[in-house]
Amino acid sequence: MTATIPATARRPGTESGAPPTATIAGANTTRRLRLDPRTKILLVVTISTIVIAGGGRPGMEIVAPALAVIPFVLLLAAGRRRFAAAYAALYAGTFAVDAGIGWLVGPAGPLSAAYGTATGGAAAGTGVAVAVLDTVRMTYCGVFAACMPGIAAGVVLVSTTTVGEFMAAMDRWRVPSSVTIPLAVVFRFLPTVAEEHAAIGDAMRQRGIMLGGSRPWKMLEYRLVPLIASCVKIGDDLSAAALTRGLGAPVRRTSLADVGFRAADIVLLGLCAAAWAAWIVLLLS
Amino acid sequence: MIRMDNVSFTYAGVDRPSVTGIDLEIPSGQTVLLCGRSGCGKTTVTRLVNGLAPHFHDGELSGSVSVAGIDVAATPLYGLAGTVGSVFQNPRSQFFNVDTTSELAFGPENLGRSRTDIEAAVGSVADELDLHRLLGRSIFQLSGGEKQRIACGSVAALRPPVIVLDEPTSNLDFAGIALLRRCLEHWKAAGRTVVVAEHRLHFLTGLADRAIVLENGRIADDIAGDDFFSRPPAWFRARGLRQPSLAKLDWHDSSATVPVQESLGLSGLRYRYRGSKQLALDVDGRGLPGGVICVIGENGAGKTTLARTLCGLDRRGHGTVEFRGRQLTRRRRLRETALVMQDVDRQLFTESVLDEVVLSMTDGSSKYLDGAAAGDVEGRALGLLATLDLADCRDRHPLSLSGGQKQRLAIASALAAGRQLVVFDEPTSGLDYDHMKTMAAEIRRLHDDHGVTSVVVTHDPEFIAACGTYVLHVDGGRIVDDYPMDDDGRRRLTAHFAAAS
Repeated sequence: MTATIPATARRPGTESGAPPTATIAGANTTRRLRLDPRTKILLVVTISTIVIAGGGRPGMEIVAPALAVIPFVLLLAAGRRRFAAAYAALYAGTFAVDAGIGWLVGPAGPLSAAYGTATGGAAAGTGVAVAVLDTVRMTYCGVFAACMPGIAAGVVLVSTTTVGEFMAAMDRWRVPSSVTIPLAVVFRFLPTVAEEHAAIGDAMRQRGIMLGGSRPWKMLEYRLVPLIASCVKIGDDLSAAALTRGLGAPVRRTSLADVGFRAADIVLLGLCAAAWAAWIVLLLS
Repeated sequence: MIRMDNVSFTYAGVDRPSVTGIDLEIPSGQTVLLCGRSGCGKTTVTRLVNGLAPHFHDGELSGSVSVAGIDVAATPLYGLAGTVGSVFQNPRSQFFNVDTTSELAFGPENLGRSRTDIEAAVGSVADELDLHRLLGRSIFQLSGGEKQRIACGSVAALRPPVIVLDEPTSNLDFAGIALLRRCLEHWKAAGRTVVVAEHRLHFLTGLADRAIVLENGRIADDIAGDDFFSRPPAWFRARGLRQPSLAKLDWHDSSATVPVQESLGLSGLRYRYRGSKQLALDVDGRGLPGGVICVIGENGAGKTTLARTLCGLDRRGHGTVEFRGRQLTRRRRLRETALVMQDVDRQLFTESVLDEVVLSMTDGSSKYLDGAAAGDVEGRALGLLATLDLADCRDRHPLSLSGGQKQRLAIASALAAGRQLVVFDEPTSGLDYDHMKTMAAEIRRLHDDHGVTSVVVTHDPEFIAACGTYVLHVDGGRIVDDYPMDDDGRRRLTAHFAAAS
């Protein structure tokens, strides 16, 4: 689960002169483009729903890549160049692999030609190869390609939004604080969990507890029990500290965070609306 | 300002009251030190003032507590937030936001203050406590001292007339403590009422107007600050308190334990953080004697990096360590050294104390042992537990042990695995005098009885006095000074801590 946590807690420095801001992912990010968290949440929902649910419907071969470009641009705008490049390469890779395997197993490809002439074991071998390649194509080019844009949009959300902004935006949506506060705590926790996880990993390596023992489930237990214990303790301390500072007071919470829709938000919301419209048209046709 | 009448409090699920019959009257503007052994009830007193007892920590309260005329037991926590501010022990777990500015604004936001009010509050707190340089930063990039200053600032943003601090210096070095003292000085000058529960006393000299010593949940001494700090060392020892003065450290005789021959050779130890041009660690051609080597230096000086590199925990830590004539590569060090972490919870994995030690004897692969071998291993494990005074809790869950017991269990596991070089990371942070002395005796016994060389990262001069045989002073990733604990060494060590505070 920790593999999905973006950015290490200690990413030093920033890449330009703009003031760094600490986000819910714990990293300092230089923000040249400022978006309302609500826009980013709608983007995550729009991109992941349409790209995944759209599947292989005709027309999606244009809509899906068009949507996939949005998080790429936003990652660049957030100064996360390396992540953006990796995302672009992986996503473009799905098309190349798809085309390559399509050619290999297709009617004009070498495999079907070989299958036509081979006999016995060779024919079975070719059949297995085709099945393996098809599985690779399904998982990497189908499932992976469909999930990636949504995940990238999620990374944009958590790596460019501060906890304060998130809570303020939720409040604008009239989401009750009984929902927002636990969510904010979860965000607050991610970097802490990553820190704890790394420290426990150190302790395990030092004591020579490695994978490959005869009881692999024990490894999971050794890793999870101290992790849960320390998270519970930190969570307790955190709640006590927050309560002594008035969290949960029966007043409408105010916020220093500056949220509100600006020009860039309008453009992106327009793109979302267009994507939904295109999706509905494709569904009906 | 604070008034307690015959107050007793018993935490839910505990038979014994944590405090009994507390009568206390703290006038407005007074700075009060609460001290005493671990478990004496000083933390509970701070919780009674800020309302966490009984509103967060359930329990049975008798008597009455009032702060600025407010009945604490009858007022929900948010109702007290504007009256009592609280700073806690662990800077890691008292931040709700991950950036400093939002953290300062957090209290006023919760109470629904207006935007302009919040901005004004953040600005004036930053002025008063000199926090401008820290605004807009990720709390993950602050030092412990900086985090505690932000914690003070976020408390002050609500302008509470009363501020309580529960062991605020536990995780701080001397420089961090000096910064914290500046916040306290400011509050004192501004006429706030401040209550500090602490083990470390030296930084409150000349600041605390009054000192209250608790023993077994009762007030044992309640005296003026000047009187308290002028008491003789024996007075503090009798009450389980740390010495407030560096001039009165209780030095052990280290000459008996200093081995003559060189034992630990460090060559080409280098460490560079990713993306950084500077070396965070740069140590070359050093020969050190065995014994108890104490590593001192400010936060960020490279002590922890040195410790991690010694243990081979990080691939970025390059170089070799020669230990008792053998070259240890990084992988070797991983297998032949042990690290006792500051947060021991992270390194205890099993369901019972005995299993924990056995795990270290079966090279961690946790293979099932056949009958005879299992009996032998268990016998050796029990022997080790007995030497570390843990035999009685062999079947308890490691996480249910006290802090000191957990540390001893981590030591037992290291011994069980045959580790001869043991690295300790701040083993005495937050320990009272008695527990610190026990820990010091334990580390010395590791050397005298088991021949273990210990490397101890520490900020605790009293602890170094009690067990150190050699001092390594690290600054900017380099060893800037090193000396044995002879008369001259003692003078240099005292001078170092005196200059830092």
